[in-house]
Amino acid sequence: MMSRDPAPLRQAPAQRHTVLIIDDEPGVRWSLRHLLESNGFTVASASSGVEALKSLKASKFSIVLVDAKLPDIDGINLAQRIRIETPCQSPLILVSGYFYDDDAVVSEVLSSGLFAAFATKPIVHNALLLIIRDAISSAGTPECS
Amino acid sequence: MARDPYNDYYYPINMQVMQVMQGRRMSIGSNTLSPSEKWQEQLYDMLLESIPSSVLLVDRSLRVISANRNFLEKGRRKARSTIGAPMNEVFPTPILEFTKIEAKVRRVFEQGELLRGEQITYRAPGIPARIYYYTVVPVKAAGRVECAMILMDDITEKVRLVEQAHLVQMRLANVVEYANDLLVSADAEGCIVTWNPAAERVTGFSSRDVQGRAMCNLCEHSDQEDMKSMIQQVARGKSVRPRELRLVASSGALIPVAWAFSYMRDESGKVSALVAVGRDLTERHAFEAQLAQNVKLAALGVMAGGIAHELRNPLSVSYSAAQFLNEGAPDPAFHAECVQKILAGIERASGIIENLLRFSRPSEAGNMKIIDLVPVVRETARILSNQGALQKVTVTENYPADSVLINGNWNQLQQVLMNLIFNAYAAMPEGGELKIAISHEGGRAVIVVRDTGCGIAAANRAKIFDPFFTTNAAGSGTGLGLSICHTIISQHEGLIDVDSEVGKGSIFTIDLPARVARAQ
Repeated sequence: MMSRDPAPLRQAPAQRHTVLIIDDEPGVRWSLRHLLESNGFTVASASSGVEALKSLKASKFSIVLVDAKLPDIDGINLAQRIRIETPCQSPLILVSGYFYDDDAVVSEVLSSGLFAAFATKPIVHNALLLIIRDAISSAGTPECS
Repeated sequence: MARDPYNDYYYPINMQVMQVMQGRRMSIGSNTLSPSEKWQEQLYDMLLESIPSSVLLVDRSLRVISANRNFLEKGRRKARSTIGAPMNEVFPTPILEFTKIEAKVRRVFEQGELLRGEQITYRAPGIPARIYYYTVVPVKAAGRVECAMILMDDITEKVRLVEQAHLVQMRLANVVEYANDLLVSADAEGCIVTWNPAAERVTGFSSRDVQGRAMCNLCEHSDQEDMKSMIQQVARGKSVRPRELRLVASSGALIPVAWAFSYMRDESGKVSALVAVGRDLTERHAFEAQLAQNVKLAALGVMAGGIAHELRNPLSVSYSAAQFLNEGAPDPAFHAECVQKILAGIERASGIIENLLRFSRPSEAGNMKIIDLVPVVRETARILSNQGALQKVTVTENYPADSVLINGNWNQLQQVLMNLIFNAYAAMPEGGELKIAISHEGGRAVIVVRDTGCGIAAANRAKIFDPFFTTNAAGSGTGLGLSICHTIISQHEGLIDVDSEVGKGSIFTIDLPARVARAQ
């Protein structure tokens, strides 16, 4: 069963974390935005790799959700470029319907530390919120705006 | 002259000729010869000496009166030791015992009747065995048999040739008998003369069932005209390309057969008979269909990732919307939005699944009908557009406004297009442009698939249509895609060709015979 409105985030409305959603699918951006905003996050989104790199150079985000297949840059490739080309050191979460949990590619990018976590589509809201919370707390990232 | 061993044969012949003449004079019963008789006798002698038969003349006491040159040469005898010798000294003992020739000659003397048709195998010392056919002719004077002429023909060569011909015939008969292919001979009108066991086996019709029947009447109704025109062309001495035409078996089943025709001319140069070799393609078609299916499934495997991504996006949106609704959507507008997202997501996912189903369905081989090429190509391009978008390939399509009719199999042609488009995508891993066009000119329908991919090395260009040729790493390609394309296009009596430049891209061209729309 899905639980409603996770309590911890509600308790600290002043400390708003910012999330960048990178996905070319408008429907997915719609659902993630709604989910995260209703859980107290500030949300920005990008529909391509190039657009995401531009945002990450300009602004800081607490966490970045990266789709594995983008029209211009492959998700894993984009993660590497984020680390090289932008100052962003926030946790990256791979969100994709392209891989499965114990996919060799997924294991590799998780163990190398390139990604903090992997979430498969279709997205289970509670599971994703847990992953995001875990990633933020273990990274100890201060809130950005 | 007599010292010369070679000429030794010739010297006594004059003697022998004299004796033959004497013998003849005796039978004529006259001692004087007129000049014309002399001339005639010279002629006889010449004839006797030059004929390729051995001639021996024996008197009633079975002594040799005369032996011609051929006899002496074949028997390695000299005239001196032959003329006047008893017959049983001239012939080797085994022959005398085996043929009982002496008794037979005696009977000719007694009965005065010709004896013919006996064969002797004779081996003179130091020479290979020869086979003779002999006749004993009674030579009569005043109703009495004065002497017997033994005529022997060396038939060694003839027997050998007959045996050889027989052997060749047997071998050919075996080839026809045990061939896996249908071997049919027909007269110049195409009426069946011979029909081999393979043809009996494949069709269920015995040789007797089909004898004298027109070959085209054994074909499937829609193939009869084609068979007829093929036969007419061959009968006119033209060579024709092998074609696939179906036979109707006694069971009513249709049997796809690849026919190759040739003709035989008589001495006057007129085509007198037709020979057709037919290969039963039933198994091959089944095998090809299986291969095509395997290639399709392999392609599907490669596409699985893309398909998963394509499917999971709308599923994810619907799933999220459902989760929002489950949590109790706060306002009616958002509630409606969620419902709409769920409906749209399911519709999209279902559309992708439908395309997949169309794609993976096995194609029924060999079933051709008049179809419009444009929707075949358009639909195939559409099915693969998801994959193209995923690989950042821009697809441009250019089709004529009118329909382009051909005699073909929708599924098989879709398979060809699928392979070409899929190969184009694979050649452009970093994205690129794919142009698909159909043109219609001069009775031909031409499909062009042009990519801006890696291209094909010149050394590989000739091999790409070979089965199992692949430049992909082991396990990532079957190497059968283009070979199947080639087979399918050949079955459509078309051509497939490639033009390519490494680093620039490839252009695949398919050229098919166009059909004119039948007036309604």
